[in-house]
Amino acid sequence: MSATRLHVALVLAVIVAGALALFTGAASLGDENLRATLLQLRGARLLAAFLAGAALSVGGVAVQGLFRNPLASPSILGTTAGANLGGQIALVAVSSLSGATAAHMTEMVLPIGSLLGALVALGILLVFLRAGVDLLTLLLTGFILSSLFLSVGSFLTSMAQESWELGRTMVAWSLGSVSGTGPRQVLFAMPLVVAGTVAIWGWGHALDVMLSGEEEAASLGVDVKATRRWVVVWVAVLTGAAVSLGGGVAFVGLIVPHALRPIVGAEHRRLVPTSALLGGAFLIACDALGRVLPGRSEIPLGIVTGLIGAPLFLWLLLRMQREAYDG
Amino acid sequence: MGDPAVQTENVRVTLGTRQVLRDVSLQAQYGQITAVLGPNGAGKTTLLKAVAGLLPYEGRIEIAGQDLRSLHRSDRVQLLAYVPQVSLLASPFRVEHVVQQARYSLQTARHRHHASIEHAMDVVDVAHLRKRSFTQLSGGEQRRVLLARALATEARLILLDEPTASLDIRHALSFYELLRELTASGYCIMAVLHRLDDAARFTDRAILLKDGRLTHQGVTADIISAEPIREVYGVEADETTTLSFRLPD
Repeated sequence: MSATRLHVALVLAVIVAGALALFTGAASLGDENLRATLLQLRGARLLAAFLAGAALSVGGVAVQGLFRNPLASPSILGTTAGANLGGQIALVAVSSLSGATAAHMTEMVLPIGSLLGALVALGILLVFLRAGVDLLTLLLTGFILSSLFLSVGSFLTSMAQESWELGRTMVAWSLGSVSGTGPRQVLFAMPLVVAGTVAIWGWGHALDVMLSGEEEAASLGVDVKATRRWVVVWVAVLTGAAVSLGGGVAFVGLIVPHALRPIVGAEHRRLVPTSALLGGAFLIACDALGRVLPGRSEIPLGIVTGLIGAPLFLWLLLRMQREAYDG
Repeated sequence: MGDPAVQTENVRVTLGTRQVLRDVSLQAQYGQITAVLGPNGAGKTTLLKAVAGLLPYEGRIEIAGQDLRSLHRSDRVQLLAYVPQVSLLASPFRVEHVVQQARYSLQTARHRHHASIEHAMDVVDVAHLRKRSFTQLSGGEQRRVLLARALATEARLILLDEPTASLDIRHALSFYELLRELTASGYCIMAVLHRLDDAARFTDRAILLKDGRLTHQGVTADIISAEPIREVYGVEADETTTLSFRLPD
């Protein structure tokens, strides 16, 4: 498939998924009294899902390139868990306020908390980077940071159970959802996602060369330290923005680049825009699906992506192994 | 005669707490293949990486008369190219994309990039593989593609770490023939080699390393002789076996 056709197909996929998402939900757009409000709410939600999906997918492309490992994802750097923890701390901080102020503050403080969480996780990681550690040590550091942040987050969630409302919000946040994402959050995250996507595209050639290993890349003139540092920074920005929009959403950063590589190849400048489009369409569709699946209420987005993503990833993995075996 | 391709003076490399190279001073000239020889752990690969500017070192290394430390990354790429023993490249890039990576840091006109890439692929005879995936090539083809990428930088000093280690005898002979053609057109090839018989047949000069020290350097025929080999490797020359092969005419 040519690049142009693929891009057209992916844009169409985003439009179709978006249209489905606008018309899907408990309330009908046929009700004239509700139509404007529903369109506004679902529009913000649709944009949030698209941006979160795009950010996580582009982050996945970057991390997989940096670690030369197609099984890597932004979560392995510890930034996803850091962003999650930042959001949880923000929720706890805002819970002391009451009524409309709390609702208003949550919308603003949540993305800031997520970003700060991602940046703190990144800051710790950069200390290790400055010490000149290899990628394996970096990987293990990310894993340890993730465990630490998840433990602190779980501790906060258990403490929050004393307040029913806060406990419920904390659990919903950790499950991942764009249902309560407002226009302010979307406006806050949008420039970060766009900047992160463009930046990773810009580092695309360097990431291509880095796939030969750091020594070969350095011998071909790549500034390996700068590439590592800036790619990590932009992955943190993308992850922080995505988490601020949708909480903990699993598997998107893993499966989207995986699914596209056999079609577009391994070149980063081709993978970045296509992954952004497919990741966005995928998350919009997952969010719409969560609204139509039978249940007492909507199925959280993180559960839908996990239910679809895990088996899909296993299938892709089996296909990859079979292709490697067949030569 | 102009500046040598490589000149080192008292080069020392310390990795962790271990001094891997001790006061190595050597020369390698354009138009020649220089073999870097020595037993396992002698510091051959470390020497090649230090000359490639990939490791911190003490002492002085000059590439084409210029201090290696003073060279910017992109200037270094124009002077030397390094091909490791094992490339970590396992991505399904098209061959032409792999060769194009040679031009990553070089700011020249597009037509110059194109000409360098095409020339390198022609010289190494991989142009017919340009649309193939790198991961689907044989070991010999992959070595040639990586050499094409090194040549596409237009550097005249090529550093090769065990270039024929994974090749069968036919591909190895053909690879050495290619290296001879390159030196005939003015390249300096500096190659870490394990097989002394290959070094004796195909290289002009040799340096011998032992425990990080340079023990001998000179014309290959003088270096690969009974006394230096006994001293460095601890083996005796056996002149009764002369089995060797060549490519068909």
